[in-house]
Amino acid sequence: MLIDAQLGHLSELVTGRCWDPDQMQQQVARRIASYQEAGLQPGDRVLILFGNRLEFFAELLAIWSLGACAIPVDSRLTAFEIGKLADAARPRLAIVDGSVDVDATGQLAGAEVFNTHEHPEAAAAVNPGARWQLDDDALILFTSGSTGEPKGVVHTHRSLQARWTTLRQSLGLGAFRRSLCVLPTHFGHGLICNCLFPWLSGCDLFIGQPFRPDLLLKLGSIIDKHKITFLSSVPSMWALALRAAAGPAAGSLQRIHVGSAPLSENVWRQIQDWAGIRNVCNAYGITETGSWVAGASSEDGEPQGGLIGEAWGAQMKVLRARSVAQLQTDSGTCGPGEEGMIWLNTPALMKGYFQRQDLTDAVVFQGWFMTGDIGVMDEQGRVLIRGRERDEINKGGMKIFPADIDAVVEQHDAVTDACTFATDDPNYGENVALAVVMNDPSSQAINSLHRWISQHLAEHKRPVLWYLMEEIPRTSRGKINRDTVREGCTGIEPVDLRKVLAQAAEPPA
Amino acid sequence: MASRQADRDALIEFLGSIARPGQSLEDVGDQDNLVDSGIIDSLSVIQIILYLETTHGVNFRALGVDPAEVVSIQGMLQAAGHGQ
Repeated sequence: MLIDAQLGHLSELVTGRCWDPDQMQQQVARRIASYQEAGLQPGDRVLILFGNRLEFFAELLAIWSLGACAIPVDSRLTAFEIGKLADAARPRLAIVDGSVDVDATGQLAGAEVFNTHEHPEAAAAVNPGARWQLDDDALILFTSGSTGEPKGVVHTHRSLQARWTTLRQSLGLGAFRRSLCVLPTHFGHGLICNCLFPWLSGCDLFIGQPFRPDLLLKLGSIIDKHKITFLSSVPSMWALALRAAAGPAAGSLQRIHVGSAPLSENVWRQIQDWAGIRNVCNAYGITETGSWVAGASSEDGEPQGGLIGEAWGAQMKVLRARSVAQLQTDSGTCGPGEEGMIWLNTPALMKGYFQRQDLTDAVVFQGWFMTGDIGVMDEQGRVLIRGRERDEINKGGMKIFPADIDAVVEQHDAVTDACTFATDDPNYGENVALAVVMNDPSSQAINSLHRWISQHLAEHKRPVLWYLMEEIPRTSRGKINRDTVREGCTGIEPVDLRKVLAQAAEPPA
Repeated sequence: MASRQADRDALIEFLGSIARPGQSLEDVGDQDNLVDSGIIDSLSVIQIILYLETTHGVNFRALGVDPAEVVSIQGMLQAAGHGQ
């Protein structure tokens, strides 16, 4: 077990199941016994193909206790995507529950599969001893490349401990005594900060399934019922909760974080009103920095769109350099109000990208991490985000990489060229759009492409708007500029997918 | 009775406009959970709420929402009744 971990109670919102620290230790011991018998060694990697339930956390602690590295995977991924990740990660074990696509278990690169419900009772308390070192790999979070070359952020025990220590020092624990997580546990924000930071510090944690409308519509009463003091969130959750959920009335709530996507001033103020508290914080974090690394609370100043305030236990600078290469020749800091790239220096920085030193070198220089976010610093030293240079679509806090979708679409026989880009969405902020050149634009071919995409991409990555094009505009060097393609699609009517798919389903006359 | 049928027809037409492409409402029962059955995306519930607010005058925030009322056709028709 982690030396300084003091577990809190862990409860599931929907089922009401709860494990106290002793029960959790017993569950961890059962898993340790199973995995010792299976020969799990320090340094081995283990895929966890489910999340947001008690067993997930028991698996995580057991894996860490044995010196192995956990790889939580989004359970919504298709068998194809899971297979790609497994091919890259080469896990020793894969742990599933009943929710896992059975097809996926055949694509796990030879990993031994365990079902989290089938661990035998441990015959005796198992003490594996100190089988992990501070600089061992603890966690790999794959952020992109689920269809091509996966990009995994590697955190060591040292970087994770640094994140939790700096948060304790910067924010204290008082407001986190009873924390609620309705975010997925396979990404940094939900796992490292919303769940593990409070729970491994002795605070009680309540977990729900992510983005469930039945939970969001009862958010106020859930907060009251469980005397929740803290929750984190993404802006898209609030579109539903602010519209239709009654706010909390019992007065337990002390702090709310909103992160992973831009928070507008208007929504920020509405959340304050809904919650009846001023301590609503726009939290800034990136998986590579162990998530939350800065934040601005409306308790300290008026809400302002893009305001992320000051760093928590880190250094945050706005520099003129927009790449590592530029930083090597110009480390000039932008003046107040001058726009530049946001760089971070934090002890919680990732070890690097999994087996991709080239990618790591492109964003890390002498401990400084290039965030890809464009920002300005105001006269008071607070940072405001103005945009981003990362090639990603932020769908309600879920980061989707257009190249992953291009790679799948371009493999279809009827496709000549394709470009995925972000489109505005009233619910999610951004959504996925596709410009595609097809050598056969018949409804049958479109239907076939739709089926192909559904088989290969998790649902949240599938394009919701399709534009049929004669050609995809490219730069003189043959590269795609996604912004140019998006502008080119403005004014073009997207394909009426419902109609086309219905036509394709009709039997021939 | 005729009004309820008209409400139902209009609701089905609306749901058809927000259903996932390739998903049909034809085989869906009135009590089926449209999110769990994959007909609509979970965050599309906001569009259903907006529809019931604007078309039927339902004030969910004041009434308090029973989530079951916005994920099945029967529940939506019941919710529409609150606003009439």
